[in-house]
Amino acid sequence: MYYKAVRLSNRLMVYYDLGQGYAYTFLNGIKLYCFDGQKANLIAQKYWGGCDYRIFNEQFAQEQSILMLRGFLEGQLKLQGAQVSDQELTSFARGMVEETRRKQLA
Amino acid sequence: MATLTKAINKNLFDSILPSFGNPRVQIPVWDDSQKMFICDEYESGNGHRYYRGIRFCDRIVIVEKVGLYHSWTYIDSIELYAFNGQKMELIQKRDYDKVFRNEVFIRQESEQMVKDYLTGVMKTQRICTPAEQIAAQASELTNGCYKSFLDPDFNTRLTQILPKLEQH
Repeated sequence: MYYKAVRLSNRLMVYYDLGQGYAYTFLNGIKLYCFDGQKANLIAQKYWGGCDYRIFNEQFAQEQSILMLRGFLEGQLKLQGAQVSDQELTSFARGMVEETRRKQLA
Repeated sequence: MATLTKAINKNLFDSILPSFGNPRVQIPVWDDSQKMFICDEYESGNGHRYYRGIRFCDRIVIVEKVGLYHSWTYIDSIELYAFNGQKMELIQKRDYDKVFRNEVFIRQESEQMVKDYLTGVMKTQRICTPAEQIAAQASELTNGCYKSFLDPDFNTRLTQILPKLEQH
């Protein structure tokens, strides 16, 4: 059985594509979306499967999301010719992903 | 000085990752995992998402048409373009039906398409070229397209081609 999981904040959406196996839950892919007005734009996508499978682990998924977001930000900044320190870039990416994990119930 | 830098960076980040409802600055998106620029996203009435992915070197451009359905990613077609001055000309195209997108598969298909193009041209011009040489050339061209934009030695001159590609 396959299902999608989504976490969102007001700036980022993180989708996990999960596959339920007999004994394990597999992480098949991660997609990151950002917003442009009220539309969502795909900004990064990574998937696994076949011989290169990943068993779902929250820590791993979070680290991958942070790396993907960092990669996206780095590309955007490079195209704009802007310079931001690596540390600040990573901490911003981490902050964005952690914001999606904040509890939404009031 | 530190607060000024922080303010500048905050504006910068707000423009590339805006909060819901705010417009995003129009800059092409580089996806490092798929090693391509994502453009032309389209959502159909049924909620299916389609996009085009572009990767290129200074001689060829590979355009992937990708479709997303639920949790699966499909490759719909691969197009290969060559340059003629500042314009692009389609030289190879392959369409797929219900094929899952897979990095290795795309790479192999792209390389094969370059090989097919070179072989075809050689035959038309009645030039005899050893198959190994064509294979080596195809491999070199395809690998050139897979260079990450984030690498420090990515030829930034190539990014000037990007706006022209997007218009196409």
